[in-house]
Amino acid sequence: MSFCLPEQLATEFKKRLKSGEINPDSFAELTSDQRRSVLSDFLGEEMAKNTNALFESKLLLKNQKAGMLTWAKTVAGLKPEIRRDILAKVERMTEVLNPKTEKAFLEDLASYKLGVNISLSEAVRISDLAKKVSEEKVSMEKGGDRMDYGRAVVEFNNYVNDLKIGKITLKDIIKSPTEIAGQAKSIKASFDNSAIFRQGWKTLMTNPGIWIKNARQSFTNIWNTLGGKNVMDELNADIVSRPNYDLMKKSKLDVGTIEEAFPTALPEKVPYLGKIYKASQDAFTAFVHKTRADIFDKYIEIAKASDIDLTSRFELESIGRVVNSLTGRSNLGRLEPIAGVVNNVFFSPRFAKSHIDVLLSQPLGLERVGGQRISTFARRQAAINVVKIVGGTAAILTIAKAINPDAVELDPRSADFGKIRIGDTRFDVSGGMASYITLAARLITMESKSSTTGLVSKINSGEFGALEGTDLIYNFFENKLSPAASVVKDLLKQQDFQGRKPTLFTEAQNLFVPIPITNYQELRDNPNSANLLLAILADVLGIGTNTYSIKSDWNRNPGVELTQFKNKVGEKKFQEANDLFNKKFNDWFWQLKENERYQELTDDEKQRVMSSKRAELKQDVFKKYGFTYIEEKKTKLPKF
Amino acid sequence: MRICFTKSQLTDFYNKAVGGVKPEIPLIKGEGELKIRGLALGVEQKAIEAKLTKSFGDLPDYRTVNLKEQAQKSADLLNTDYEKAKRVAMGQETPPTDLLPEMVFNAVEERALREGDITTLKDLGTTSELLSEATTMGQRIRALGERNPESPVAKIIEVVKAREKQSGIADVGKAKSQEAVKIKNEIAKVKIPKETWDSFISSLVC
Repeated sequence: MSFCLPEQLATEFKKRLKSGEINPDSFAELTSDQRRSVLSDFLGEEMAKNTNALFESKLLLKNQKAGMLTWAKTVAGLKPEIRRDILAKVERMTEVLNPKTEKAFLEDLASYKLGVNISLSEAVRISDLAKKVSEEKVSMEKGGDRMDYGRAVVEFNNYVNDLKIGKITLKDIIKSPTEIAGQAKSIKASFDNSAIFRQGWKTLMTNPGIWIKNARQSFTNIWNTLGGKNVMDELNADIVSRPNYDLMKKSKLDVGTIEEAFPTALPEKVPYLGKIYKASQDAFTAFVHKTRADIFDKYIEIAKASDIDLTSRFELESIGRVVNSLTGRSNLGRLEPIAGVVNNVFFSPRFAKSHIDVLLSQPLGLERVGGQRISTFARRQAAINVVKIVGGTAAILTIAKAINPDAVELDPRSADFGKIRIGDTRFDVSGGMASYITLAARLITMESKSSTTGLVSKINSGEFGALEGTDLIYNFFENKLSPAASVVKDLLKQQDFQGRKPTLFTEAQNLFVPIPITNYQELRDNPNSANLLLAILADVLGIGTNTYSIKSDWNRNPGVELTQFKNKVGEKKFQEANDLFNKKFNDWFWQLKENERYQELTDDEKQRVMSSKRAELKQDVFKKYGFTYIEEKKTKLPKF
Repeated sequence: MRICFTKSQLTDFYNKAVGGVKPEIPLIKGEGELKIRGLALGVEQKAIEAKLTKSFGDLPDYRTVNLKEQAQKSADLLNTDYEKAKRVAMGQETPPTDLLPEMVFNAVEERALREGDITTLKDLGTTSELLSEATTMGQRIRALGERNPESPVAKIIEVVKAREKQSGIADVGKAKSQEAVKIKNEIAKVKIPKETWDSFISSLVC
């Protein structure tokens, strides 16, 4: 800038500074306009503008930088990298801060100190990865490998996600009950490949080709994860690079999300077992996400062929809802804002809701998207699905019944409905949907058929011990509780699911023992269970098994006779005697079931036969333990 | 003078855009002569246009906005006065007539990414006034980030937001303001010595 100040004006400037007419400190704090105005009083407009420009660049900028550098050097607790970033940012300043830029600039510096900013090296990495994504995209559009683009996107997302999550300390985990609840659920759901039949049942019935391909792949995924390969990265690369990926996002298809059965990845860190956990988690997530993407692609093809407007968000979201539900992940509707809480209370609420949506809400058009009923196209697909699912499941049950007529229960009021029964073991071949039909059938008829005795009882009959409608609903939801909520329930009731008093051991088992192991224990303990290997294999693959027989729990409403017996023999022998009683009764009942005369009796008569046998066997057990009931004298109450 | 919008003005402006009327942006005259657009500019315009179409194309709010024209205007601004474009993207200056600020924001991000201008990318994500939580514009720009997963600025914003949440600080904005005051006090402590003033004035003498 070819500018200079005449001698007399420079002298005047100095004079004004000396006299205090221009206060050097407050002069620096003025805005540029204000400073120019002060100077123009004696320098004129043009000189004032130039003088101020030089003042700002030569003095004020240095001054501001010096202040900021002092702050940066003295502030405690900054990582060297962050301090370096601050110093570099300050050094890069080329213009003096004005009120417009000052606030943003200083608050940006402040955010470094608060640990809520991002370092320059992190920004560089983000920029590099974004650029790589951009380049790979161009290459893909020119005919290059789409997986290269997908991998670049995944690398980019993984890096950003790592930055967002930060470091999780042990303290964080202990302090967070939801984290513990999440871990309990994740561990319970692990050590199997259950998604293929559980979440995949509906796909097996509706899109068998996709199911077979992905079920087979899930085993490869387990093998690859155990071998140290990153299965999820490859899968995500495949999904994000698909031509329909933008449509998937717009349709809110649940790909790239955390599955409710595995809300935390922390158990992966456990040595050795963590690898098996991860293999199981990856097999689950990869199967459902790939299946979702494949079915979505298929629906998009059908929609295009049907001239469906795929620019309509409503149409896309409707399709997304149908695909999500079909693969076991539904929208929670009004509960969506508190999905986190719901997920902590129940084991898999989205999966549970998917049964209702697939069987009822979507084919009937009761599900709403943005206040409207789901689109006609989506409703039609949902209706086709429900016919295929019901038809396919019925076909399997029919074949099973043809092989063994006693293996299949056709009465929906029984808990055995939709299951194949071998001995005391039930194999759920409905992907978990049958229990919803049973609940509905029971509530509609107000009758329940026992899956152990086969007797039909009235609900709300008013008889002692009879089930009430509310019991049905309570029992249904009790079965769907998450491990953590189940422990809370046990502690409140002071009784676990099997009627035992909760202890630290039983509750730790409830929280952290994987379901396949619990099922193995059930199978092992029941002499009438199905073949152990077959049942375990089915369970591991997601065909849920349940093994139970008629069981009288003497701890529940024991009455005076059993209380006296318990007091005499003690807790341990009391439990032993209860087990003996149950065994004797079940042995008798297995033979009785085949008896033609018994089969001809009415349910009421059958009930009486069983009650009589129960009383007889109880006395036998008492005798074995040398116990005779002595009627206690009633205490006479005073008359009032 | 800085032009400020009230919330109601911004809402009005947004509603008009949704309603199909070209948004009313205060008239700010562009400075300098337009340079002749060459091949590079054509490529840039295409890139910006592709990005705008991807980000805004199917949003009903923007269907009435001519994205091609916006891309051209953004490219023009970038090529005639990149610093001004940056200031617009940073929310320090209003955009020229008929040019939506988020279009400039996108265009600046695009160029910064191409040129590896990390400082600008970082500043867009951390200090741009357009992103202010309270403004409609902030919501609109953030919505764009969600629509473009490859946007580095969107990712920077995501990380900053996540860190703010994890920091455990109840009111991060307030905490930043308080710390900024401390820095300002530190700056205020640094006085310009009399001798420096003297030598500065003497250095200006003809």
